[in-house]
Amino acid sequence: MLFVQIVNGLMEGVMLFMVASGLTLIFGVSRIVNFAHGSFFMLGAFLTYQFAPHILPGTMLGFVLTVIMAGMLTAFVGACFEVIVLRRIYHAEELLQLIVTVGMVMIMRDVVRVVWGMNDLATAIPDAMSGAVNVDSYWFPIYNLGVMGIGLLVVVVLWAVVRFTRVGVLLRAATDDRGMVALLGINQAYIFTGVFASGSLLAGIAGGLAAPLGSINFLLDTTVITGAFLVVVIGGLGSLSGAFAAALAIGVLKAVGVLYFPRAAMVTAFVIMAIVLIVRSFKARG
Amino acid sequence: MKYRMYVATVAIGLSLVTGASFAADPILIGYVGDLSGACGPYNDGNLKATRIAVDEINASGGLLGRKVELKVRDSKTNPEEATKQARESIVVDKADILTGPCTSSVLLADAAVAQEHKKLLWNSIGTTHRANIDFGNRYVYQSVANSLMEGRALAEYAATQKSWKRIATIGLDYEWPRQTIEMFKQHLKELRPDVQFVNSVWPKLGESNFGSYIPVLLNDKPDVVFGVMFGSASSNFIRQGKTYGMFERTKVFTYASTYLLKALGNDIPEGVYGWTRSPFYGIKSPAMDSFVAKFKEAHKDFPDDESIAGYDSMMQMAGAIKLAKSLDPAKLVDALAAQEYVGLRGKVSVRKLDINAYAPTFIGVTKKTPAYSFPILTDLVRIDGERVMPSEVEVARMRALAK
Repeated sequence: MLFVQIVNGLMEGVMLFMVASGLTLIFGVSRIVNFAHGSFFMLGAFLTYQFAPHILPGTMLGFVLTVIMAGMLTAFVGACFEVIVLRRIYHAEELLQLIVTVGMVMIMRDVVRVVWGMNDLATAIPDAMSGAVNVDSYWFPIYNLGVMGIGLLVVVVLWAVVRFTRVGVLLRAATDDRGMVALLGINQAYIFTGVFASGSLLAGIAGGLAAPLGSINFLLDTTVITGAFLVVVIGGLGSLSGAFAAALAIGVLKAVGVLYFPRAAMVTAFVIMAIVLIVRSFKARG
Repeated sequence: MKYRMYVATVAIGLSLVTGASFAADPILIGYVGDLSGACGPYNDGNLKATRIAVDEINASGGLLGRKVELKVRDSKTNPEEATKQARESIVVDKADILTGPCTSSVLLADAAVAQEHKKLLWNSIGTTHRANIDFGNRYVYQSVANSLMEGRALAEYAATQKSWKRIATIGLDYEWPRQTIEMFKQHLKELRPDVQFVNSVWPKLGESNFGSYIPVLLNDKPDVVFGVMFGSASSNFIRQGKTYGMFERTKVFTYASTYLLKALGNDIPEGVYGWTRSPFYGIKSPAMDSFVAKFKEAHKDFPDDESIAGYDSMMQMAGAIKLAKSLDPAKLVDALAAQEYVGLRGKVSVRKLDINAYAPTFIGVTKKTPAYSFPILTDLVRIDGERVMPSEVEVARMRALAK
């Protein structure tokens, strides 16, 4: 049973990472605490719901194309938000940036409510991935395993891009020292827009992948954002590998917690965060 | 500038003309409901039906010679917000009477404000027995089965299922599920000492991923999983349950309101045991038929349980106001208890002791039928409030304990 819960926890952890990766990426480079990240996740889910019946419904290929399209459109909305609004407030104080992204949360929520209504919507799992793998008497849903696979793929791709490509070098440089990158004659504006769009793309894809697993409704934004922030804070703001480790740890600890301390399972993640923050504050003091 | 003057004059004139039949100030109903947040869809159906009822009341001459008006405020499925909005409804809007809370925690918050300002609050969605029974709040009318009655009614049903011997429970970790599961357990242990409760899990309110809960629930090989949750948590639990083969491996007994059945459609398997409070399809009466037709015409949809309860309780309250010839809470409570009210749910009388309706609980099994595009609960068993209401002695004991 412990093993089963660890696998279940890993599945949830990878999903958490998918959401948190975009958030930490954006923070790392632009230092924007993007509360609207959950809203982009929600948008991805709704767009998947919208496109799914029209693109080879029920098939694997159709679903993959649907999610990619939903992700790209979300990325486009994210890029527009960055170009039109965020770009003007990078130098403003954090509070102002916070208000702007929270404002975006409210705008997106109302737009979603107007377009799709308040009721719970749903989209089906592609036929090839419904069903489960049985090990002993335990069932592992194929879809969840598939999502875990895609999530791990995203991890590898992200890592490879950051580690080996020129874009990655610039990203790391921008995370470390923005001024230096500017001095080297690189147009920061492109980097920021690109990073925000990529972060939104990740959120959109995560939303699309999560869509068949549950209800799609206008509350998804806040449902998701708390967990994502937990991961980002525990993992170290802006650190992708940290976020990955934190997401897996939270997922597994929660699942194992349900098994042993059913009433306390929900607080485990917050306990970890408290410990991490306390330890960090000691380290910072030296 | 002149043009505006004309418009203003016309507007004032019109309001005088149209308002002429209602000489006095309107009776203001403060509808403080959870229009946004997790409860949004439930309050939506409730408010729509309440509006239909108010229109009917006004069409037949209003109440006490006064027009009835609804003033709506959003408590956002949040107890702090509810306290603020309920206060403003009374103090700023000058509401005479309140309704609208959805979650049990918002209900408790609203109830405290109603008591503080001595205004009657009636509830037709949320269920907790703590306000009107434990705390003895004389300003809250509970028009649907409270969590104690519901928990007991469900236990009565479960006791008749001989094959249910091992029961696992899952409840969202807040007021209503905690109370309902506790009452269910207590009563079922009395009725069927052979029943054994195995694992119980408590996801937080707002949980969307049940992947780590379902395997734990199934691990003890329960005969039935008893679930107390609502809205998207319910539908997520059912959808994800399917991927874990939950419905092949155990029976499931959960809250299955009309809203949930409509939202899930064919995603909810047949053979799920479900309970609900006022299903339009489960109560046959001319009054129900005409209400369903009216609702469908206005909103192109079947009414939810919360709609039926909203309309029913509004009409019941209107009757009580007529009988009491007053808006004074104590007099209204007397009138509620004295009145012989027959509404959409049939005859539902009110007990003065705890201002609680003898409201029914409906339990059945999901099945697809040709009549509706979504599965409904069939083989419905109706358990009336009379069977499960706590006795006067019990109420006294609960109140003593709460002090």
